[in-house]
Amino acid sequence: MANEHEHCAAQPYEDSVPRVLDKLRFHIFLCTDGKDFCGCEANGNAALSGALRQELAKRRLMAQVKINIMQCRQPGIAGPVFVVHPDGVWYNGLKAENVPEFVDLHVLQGQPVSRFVLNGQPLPVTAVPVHIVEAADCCGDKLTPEQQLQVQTQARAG
Amino acid sequence: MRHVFVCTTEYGDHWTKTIAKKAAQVAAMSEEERARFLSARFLSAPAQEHADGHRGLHCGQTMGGGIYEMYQQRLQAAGISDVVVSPNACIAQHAYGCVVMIYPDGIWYRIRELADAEKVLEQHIIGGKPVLELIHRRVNPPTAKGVQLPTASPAVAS
Repeated sequence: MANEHEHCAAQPYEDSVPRVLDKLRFHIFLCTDGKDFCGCEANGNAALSGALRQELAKRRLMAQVKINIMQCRQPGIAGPVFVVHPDGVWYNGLKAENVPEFVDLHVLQGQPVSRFVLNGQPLPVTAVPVHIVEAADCCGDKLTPEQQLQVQTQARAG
Repeated sequence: MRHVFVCTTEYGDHWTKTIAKKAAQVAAMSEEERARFLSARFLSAPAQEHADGHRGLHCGQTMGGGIYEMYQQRLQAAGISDVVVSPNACIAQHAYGCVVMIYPDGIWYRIRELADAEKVLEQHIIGGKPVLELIHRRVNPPTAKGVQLPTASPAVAS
């Protein structure tokens, strides 16, 4: 593990990271998946991501807000989903045109835009729906044997 | 509710589109832009690079996928449902090993071997106590306020 990464361990980079994280206030995770679990991609994830980055750059907030890519894996959600940490607020269905409102309210004042906040708790990703397991060459192929067994018994019972 | 992010770039087929997009971006750059892009991320040059600007192996090819699977299995076996585990893309820390981020605690762990990941799972994710010796970075804790802007300089008024 260490050998192939030796060339990466440059000192100036190590120095640069704490400086960046000192200012950080929000770490935003955007879902880019749209394949089986959620509809984030089809519902304008790329537009949302672009608008968010543009808006933050325009207001010079790039140091305080870090944007990252994740996969929400929340079955049956329309999306686009994104999570604002460390507050732990899950947004569902906030579109590119609502980004200025989001930046005004949440990023600058710390109040979540309540009409776009996800209803209820997000599901733990260990819950894998049956239709994903049945579909070929998708997220189900990485199931553990116990999960496969569980899904099979569910399918038989249902 | 804890939200755990495991770096899994290029694990399974989930990241093919994301990586292809980034590779296309890098390919479209001019020589100068490309050099700047690469030097901003990875300061020592000589190693072989991926098409998307990475150097070294993606986390998902080495350990990230395994950690993600293990967390899924263990949490399901323990019957814990208030933890969300998400695969996330690169946060450019892979010089230090695969990074596991835990929010809202705002702690990034550097994971060098699978035993480290198990320790983080047992002590922090299940037990709730941070593993001090594995901490890579700490992110600022959440405040009720938004981003603290620097005070405007009085010279701007004309």
